[in-house]
Amino acid sequence: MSRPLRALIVEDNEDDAMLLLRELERAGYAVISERVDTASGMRTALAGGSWDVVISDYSMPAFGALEALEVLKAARQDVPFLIVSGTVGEETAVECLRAGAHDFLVKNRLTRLPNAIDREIRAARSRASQHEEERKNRALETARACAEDRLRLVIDAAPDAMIMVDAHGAMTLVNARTEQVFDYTRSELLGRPVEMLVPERFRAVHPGLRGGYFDRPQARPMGAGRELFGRRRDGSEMPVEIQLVPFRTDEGRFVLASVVDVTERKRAEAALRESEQRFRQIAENINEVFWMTDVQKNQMLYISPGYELIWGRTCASLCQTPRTWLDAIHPEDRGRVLEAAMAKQQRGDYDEVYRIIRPDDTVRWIRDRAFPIRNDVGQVFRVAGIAEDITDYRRLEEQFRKAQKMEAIGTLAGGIAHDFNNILAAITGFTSLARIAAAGNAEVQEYLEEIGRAGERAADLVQQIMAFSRQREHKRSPIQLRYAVAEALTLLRATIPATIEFRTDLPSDLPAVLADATQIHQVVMNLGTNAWHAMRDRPGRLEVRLEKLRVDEHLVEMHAGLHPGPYVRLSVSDTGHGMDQRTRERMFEPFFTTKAPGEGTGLGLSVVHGIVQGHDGVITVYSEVGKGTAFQLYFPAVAAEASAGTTIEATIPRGTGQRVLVVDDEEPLARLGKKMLEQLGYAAEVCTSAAEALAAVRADPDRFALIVTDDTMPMMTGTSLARQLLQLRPDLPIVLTSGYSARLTREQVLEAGIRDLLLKPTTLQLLGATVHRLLAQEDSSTCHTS
Amino acid sequence: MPHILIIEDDDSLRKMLRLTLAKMGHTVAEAQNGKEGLAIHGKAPADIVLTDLIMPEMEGLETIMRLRRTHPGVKIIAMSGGGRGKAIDYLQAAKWMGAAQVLAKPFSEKDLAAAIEGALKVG
Repeated sequence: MSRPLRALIVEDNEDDAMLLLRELERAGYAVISERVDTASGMRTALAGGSWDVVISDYSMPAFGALEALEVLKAARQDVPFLIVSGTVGEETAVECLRAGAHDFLVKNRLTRLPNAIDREIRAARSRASQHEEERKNRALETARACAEDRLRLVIDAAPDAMIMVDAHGAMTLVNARTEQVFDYTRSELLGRPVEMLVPERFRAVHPGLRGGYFDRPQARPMGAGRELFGRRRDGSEMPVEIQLVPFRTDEGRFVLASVVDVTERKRAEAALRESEQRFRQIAENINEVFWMTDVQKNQMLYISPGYELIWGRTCASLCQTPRTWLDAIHPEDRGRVLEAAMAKQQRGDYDEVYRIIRPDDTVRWIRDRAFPIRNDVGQVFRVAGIAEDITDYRRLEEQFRKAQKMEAIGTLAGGIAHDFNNILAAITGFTSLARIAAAGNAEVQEYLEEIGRAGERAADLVQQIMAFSRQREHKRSPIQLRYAVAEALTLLRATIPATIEFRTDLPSDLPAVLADATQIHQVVMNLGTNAWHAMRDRPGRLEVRLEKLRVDEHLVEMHAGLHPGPYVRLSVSDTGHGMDQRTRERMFEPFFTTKAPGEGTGLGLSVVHGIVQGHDGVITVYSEVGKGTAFQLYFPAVAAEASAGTTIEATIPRGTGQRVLVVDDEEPLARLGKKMLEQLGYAAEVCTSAAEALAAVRADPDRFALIVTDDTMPMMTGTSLARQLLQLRPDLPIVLTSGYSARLTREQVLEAGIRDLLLKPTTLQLLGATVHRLLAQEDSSTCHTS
Repeated sequence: MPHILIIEDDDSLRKMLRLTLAKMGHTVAEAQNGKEGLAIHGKAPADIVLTDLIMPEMEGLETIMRLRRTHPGVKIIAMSGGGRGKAIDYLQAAKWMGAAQVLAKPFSEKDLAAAIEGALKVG
């Protein structure tokens, strides 16, 4: 069986070539051949096909075996090269073999040729396959190197620190980020235990945890639920998050840890937490209520806890049914607020003041503002607002307004009083002149006396107005209020029926107050008298209390005019009919009265107000219709030693032992009159009926210098008694006292020959002044006539 | 009998005072305000100056002050019906300024006589 053989023959001699081919065919080759005899011919042939063997003559005219060998090498083809030559020396043969020829044969001994060809082809094939193997290995090596480079680049480019740790805990790979995060170089880390990146306090337990992981390896976050920390070169710590991935290679088991430094994130989280906390602290602690709703008002997105305090309703209830905010609004304000909310909240100019009614029926004033919140594209998608309780503010504003009003009225009244005093001075002065001029004309004298008396009454009224407008002279010195208060209470107790219970608490250890005792006395008399009037219809209780207290910021906020510091507080409260809102509004205004015409001047509380103001004090009132009224008067305490104060009597003209008869069917009132007169230096006697009085005067008409009689007595009125007494002794001075002046006109009284009318409850000053005046007139007229 | 100068802006009151003082036997001069009063007093000094406190032109307290400066021996009686809406005790102030006596309007003939008597007693 012939073997195919592609043979390139390098031979200039055609015959020799044929001979060679015949020899090959005889050896069993099916030869495909080409003969060349130049270098260029050989190059063309080599480029044109793949040859199993090149058989070259040694020497040719234009070519040679050594050149042919060079051409073959240049073509980079590993084809067996055999030289067949005629006669050449051994040296030539060796030279050819050394140059790269595979064998050297002699032309006329070609029997060895087939063997040589077979052998060399085999050798060439073996070489070729070996080359192929080496080439393949080299390519593989290159590819592996590229992959490793890429992997390192990827790992180094990773944003997290990546650390590969072997089963013994040694770091076998770290990336560039690891160097940055932990501040070590790669060479400082590789081969070292991973614990060098763990804070000291965790180092002891870490190997155990690491071992546990290698026992049950799985891809998972490290330290589930625990805060993890890494340690930098300088020992500082940072919060980290670590993801663990186990893997196995020929070299053993590893874990790849990717470590993220979360310092910044933690800081941001903490900042956010703190910011939220700050907001909550503000929202939950300030008096304003923050709220946020959707545009349709279907959803309450946020309401701060202040809502519960101010509205008296739970935040949860509002969140459940957001529209209940409207239900809480006072019915009179509701429509307006709803309208404003719809029109203005999304525009941002919603700013409404309205009342709410709390579940306990108390009313609070609210100022509510709102502004729109827009989304990224500028559409309003929420409404946020601030609501504040301005009840206290409004109350202060109201107090301030009232104080201003009182001040204005005071100024006005003071101005009027001044001018009025001038006019009165002229009236009384001319009256005196007229009396001198008209001496001897009894009728004119009588009229002039009336004018004089009216002038005195007017002067008294003006004095009251001046007390209210704080223009009356008063002398303040450090005193204990209780003396003046107790003195006034003694008079009140005697005046006011026993159906009114008195409760007093006047401790002796109170600080002194810079005050005018006379004025304090008047304050208590006025308040006590009002209290009595308020309790006239039924039994009641009058409470008068003095106490020391320290005015704090809270009270200062409640009542304009108070300052922080020690005060003495005088409370006068009754269980009477109380005052309605309208009365409370105006009670301090001069000439404002709830009493029937003629029963009061409307100056009592105005005077109290003026006096308290004049003492740098503050007066507050609590009153409820049907329950009663409580006045609280605050006087600044002084550190100075207090005297008992000038007693009231000292300022009132005193009697000189003249005998005065007091007639009153109510024994306590009769006793009061007696006591007052005795205090004033008179010798007083008492009769509790008109008949008794008549009998006493009849028995001794000159016994009494003056008679004070009540008007409303059973059997006989004071007016009738007076008429009868005057029949017994026409010049007897009689003073009528009456609780209800409306029943009695002054004309009627004077017609009856009575000298003066005093309204109950009368004061010590008024009684003293009246009695003194009448007795003095009596003296002068007596002198005149004698 | 002492010569008395009345300084009072209220015509009616001034007339009343003039008549009353004349009845008492005093010789009287009148001025409508402090300025006029000082001028009159400069020409014919009075023993007693009875002056109102709140007046146009020259206010009473200033009048007292000037009188005391130019005529230290003059006796002054101040009268007042209270401040015009000011919480000042004018009469007390007048005393401090050197008024020998003070009279709160309205006052009686007796009060006036007593004040004159009191003023004359003072040094």
